[in-house]
Amino acid sequence: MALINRGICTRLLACFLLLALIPLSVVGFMSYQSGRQRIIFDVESHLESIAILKEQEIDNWIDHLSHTLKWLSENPAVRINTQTMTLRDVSDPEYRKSHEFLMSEFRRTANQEHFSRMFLLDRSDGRIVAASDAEWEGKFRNNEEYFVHGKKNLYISDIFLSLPLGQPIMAVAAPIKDSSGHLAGVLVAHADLQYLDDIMLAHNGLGRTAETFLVNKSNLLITNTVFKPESAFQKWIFGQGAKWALEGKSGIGQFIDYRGVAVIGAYRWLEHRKLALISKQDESEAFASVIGLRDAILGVAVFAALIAIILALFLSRAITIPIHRMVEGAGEIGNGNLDHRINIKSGDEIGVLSRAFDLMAENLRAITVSRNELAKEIFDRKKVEDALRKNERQLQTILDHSPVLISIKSTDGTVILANKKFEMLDMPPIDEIIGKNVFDLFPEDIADALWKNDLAALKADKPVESEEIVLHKDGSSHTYLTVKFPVYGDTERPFGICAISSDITERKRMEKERMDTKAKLQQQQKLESIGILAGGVAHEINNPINGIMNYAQLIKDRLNPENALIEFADEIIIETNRVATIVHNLLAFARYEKEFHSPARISDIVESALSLIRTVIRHDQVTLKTDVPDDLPEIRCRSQQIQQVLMNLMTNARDALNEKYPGYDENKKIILSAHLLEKEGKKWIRTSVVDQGPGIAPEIRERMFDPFFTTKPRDRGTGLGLSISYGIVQEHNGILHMESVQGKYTQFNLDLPVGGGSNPGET
Amino acid sequence: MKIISALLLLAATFLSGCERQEPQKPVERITVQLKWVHQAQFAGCYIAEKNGFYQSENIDTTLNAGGADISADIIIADLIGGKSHFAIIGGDEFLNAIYMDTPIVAIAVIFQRNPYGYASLKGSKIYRPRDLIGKKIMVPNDGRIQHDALLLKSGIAETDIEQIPYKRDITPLLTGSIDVHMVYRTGLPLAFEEKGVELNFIWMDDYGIQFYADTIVTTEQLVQQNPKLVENFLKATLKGWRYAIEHPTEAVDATLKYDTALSRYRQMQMMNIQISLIHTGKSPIGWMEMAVWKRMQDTLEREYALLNEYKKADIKKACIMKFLKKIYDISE
Repeated sequence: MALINRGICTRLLACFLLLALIPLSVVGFMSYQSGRQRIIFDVESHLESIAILKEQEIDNWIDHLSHTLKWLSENPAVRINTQTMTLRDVSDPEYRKSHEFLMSEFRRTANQEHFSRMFLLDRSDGRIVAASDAEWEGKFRNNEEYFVHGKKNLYISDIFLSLPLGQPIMAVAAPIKDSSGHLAGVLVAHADLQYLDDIMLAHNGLGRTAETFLVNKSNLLITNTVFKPESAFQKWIFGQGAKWALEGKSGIGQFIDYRGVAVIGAYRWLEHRKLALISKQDESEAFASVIGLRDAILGVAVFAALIAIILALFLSRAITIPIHRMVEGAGEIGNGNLDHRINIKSGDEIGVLSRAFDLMAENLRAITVSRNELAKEIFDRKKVEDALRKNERQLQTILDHSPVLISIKSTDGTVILANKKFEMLDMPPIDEIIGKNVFDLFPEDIADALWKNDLAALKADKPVESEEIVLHKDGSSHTYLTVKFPVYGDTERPFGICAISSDITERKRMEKERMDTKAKLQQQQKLESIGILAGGVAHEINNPINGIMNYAQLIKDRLNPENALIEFADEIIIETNRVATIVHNLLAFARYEKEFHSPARISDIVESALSLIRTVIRHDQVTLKTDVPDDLPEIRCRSQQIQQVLMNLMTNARDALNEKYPGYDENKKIILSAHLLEKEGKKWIRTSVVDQGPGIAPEIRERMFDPFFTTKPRDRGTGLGLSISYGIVQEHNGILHMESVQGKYTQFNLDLPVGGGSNPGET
Repeated sequence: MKIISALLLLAATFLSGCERQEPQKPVERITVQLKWVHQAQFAGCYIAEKNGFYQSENIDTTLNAGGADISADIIIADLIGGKSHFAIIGGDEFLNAIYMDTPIVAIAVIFQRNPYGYASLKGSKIYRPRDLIGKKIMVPNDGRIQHDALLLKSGIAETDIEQIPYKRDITPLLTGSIDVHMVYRTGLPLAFEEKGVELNFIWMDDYGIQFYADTIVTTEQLVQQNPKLVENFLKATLKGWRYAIEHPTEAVDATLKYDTALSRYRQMQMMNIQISLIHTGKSPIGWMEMAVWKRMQDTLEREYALLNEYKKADIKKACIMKFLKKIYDISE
């Protein structure tokens, strides 16, 4: 309520103050300004006329002095007596008479006029020959300008300070001519400068701070001022007015005077006298009356503001008190007290408003009763709705987060419900699925299968399990295990079929993998048992073979060399040798090596392999090129076995080359090289055996590493070489692989890990 | 209000910053040799020092007092020798030096008027030079030339007067052992006046013996090598004199700082009297008229002629007006 009060009160105050003060300040400011301008104009004109008048007075005064002196110098009696003095000797009575005459004449004139003294200068040496003041006689004035100029014309000197007098003087001089017109002497008078001071200080009708003074070219003050009495010739004036005047200007204006005070003033340059005349008055004094006006306006403004404040307070109270009562009433009714009445009886607008307010309260009470009943009903219904909405939301949440496909189709195959999971399938968004038939959503074959299962469930009238295959968005085919069951509404008959399907694709794939692994394992075990079997058999065969071979040899030895049986004996030896080789290899294949892995250099292994095979290779006219650096890192291995692998590979290469080039050829060469390489973040040493033989046909590449597989003639290979090599390499955690272009080359790469495998023995 | 004061503060900082940024020239140290002991005669210099006028021109000035044992010759020798940079000597002393081809120049004249005169007791009726005939007179050495000139001009033979050996003392005149004492206006007369003794004066000036007295001199060398220093020194000194005349009491206070034993009354008298010697109202303080120097020269040359010496000197070259003209902004 205080807020309302302050709001209206403040606004009323502001309005009243503005109304009171704006016109007042505008009028006040304008009258102050015009008053000020008026005063400046008045004071300036006044000061200018003072300055002009004083200048005229000075001129008049000097004119008067000049005329007096000129008159005296042209006075016949003065001229005659002067002439007499120039002609006669001092001792001559005539001289004395003339001297007496002039002296008395000078004294009389000086007293009558504004002269402090008067004297006559000798025309030749400038000596004072007659003076109003006897003591001055005999002094020389030959260096004075008034003597030099006064010999010719009337001369008025500048005002200057006299040493013997200790005071300022102005000299007026005029020549005295004799009867024949020649110079007889110079008449000089000192003007009484007190008179000049009087002129300047004479009251001028302006205030106490008004003053007029003269300044000479050297900025020296010539007459006393109001503020500096007794300062003539002892004060230099550097005020702005003096400055302008000394620059030869005359005018009026506002400026800062020699005291540093703001003044209104007139300044004039007196060309004939070479003096600056300044007449001025302090601004503070000149503006005293407008300052009074300003104070009066301020006073009125304060008074008006006070009245405005009182009026505003009174009015705002008259308005705000009934408003307070209404606000209180509104508060009461707002708090539920509908029996409250404001009851303002006044006939004005506020009274009308109050009665309307009371009527409103009456009506409000009637309405409130029926309103309460309605509100209760609405409340109950809202509660039920809330519970329903909550259930629905729960159900939807479960559906949406379910990991399985859940759908309900009507009995004619139209989709009624589908959960979020359906987005995985190759079909339109969920919103578009609803209302579509199953045959519109799936390819015909799939739809057929699905619908068949649906019908089966309907028919069985209980949950039925089936496997269904559908396509995902990424095009992959997925298998689902689906449970389907009929859904009943209020009626006897089901209105639809519900399907709940879980994706079992992954599970099926893993099952298949497990089966594959099992088959592989069985194959391996088969190979192993073959090995063990072969080992046993070989052992058993070895001894009888040796016997056969020995007996064949004995037969051969005892036969006559021409006997044809020797050929049979030889055949027995050759064939038994072959059997021995096969048995030997079988043993090697089956042997369980006890040798330990130890560090070895690949270059050493290569070298020992070559020492065994080099002769054979050379014999077959095969060029061997090796590039195996010594500084490769060491590998952990069974070096005998690696040596065997290398020998196998080189033997294969040699055989391949012999097949392609029975004789010599420049391309008949084997390249054996080794280098460091990095793959899968590990360091490896790759040893390559390359031959430019016939290459390996693609169809036999798969079987290449199988035991007993060979492309060689019966007498050349057992078909175990590569198979054994593969086993050795695998046991070393290495890789043996082949690349070949048929008709061009074959390259076997033997990759072995540097420092050995992490877990030797694992295949 | 806050904004305004902040702005003012800013402006003040800025201005003071600017001032500081001006390259500060090193202070020039100079020595000024005065022609006599410390007294109000040199008040202008004291004021210039006290009020910081020299300081504003970046000059550090030492004022050396003279005295009875420091003759004009010594002062001039010190000036030439570089012991001092400026000196205040009599105009006639300056001219004498010029005639001896000394390389010094005058840059301003402080005492425009001849302060010499003859003092006699009031009742003695000695009013004009001719009244000196037959009288006992004391003439100081530094007044000799002018005395001779006056006698010559007034047609008085040297034998017409009786010269008594000079004493700087008021007693001879008071006791009647002499009739006339040749005096320097701001010197001995003040002692008489202090005793209440009334005097008659015959002023040299009144009889055509126009002599410049206290003159500021320096060397040709300094004028050529550092004209700015000469100008600045002169400017500050003349400003000091103007201030002294405007404020005689302050000028006396400044004087007493240099010699506390001085009589304030005497210095005040001196100050008041010398005002009309220093400025006449015709021209600015310190101004020199070539015509006056010429007349002094004529007087001196007549004196030399008496001694059968015929010297010539180029006074125009030795009186340098350019500093005064520059300071007072006078083109002619």
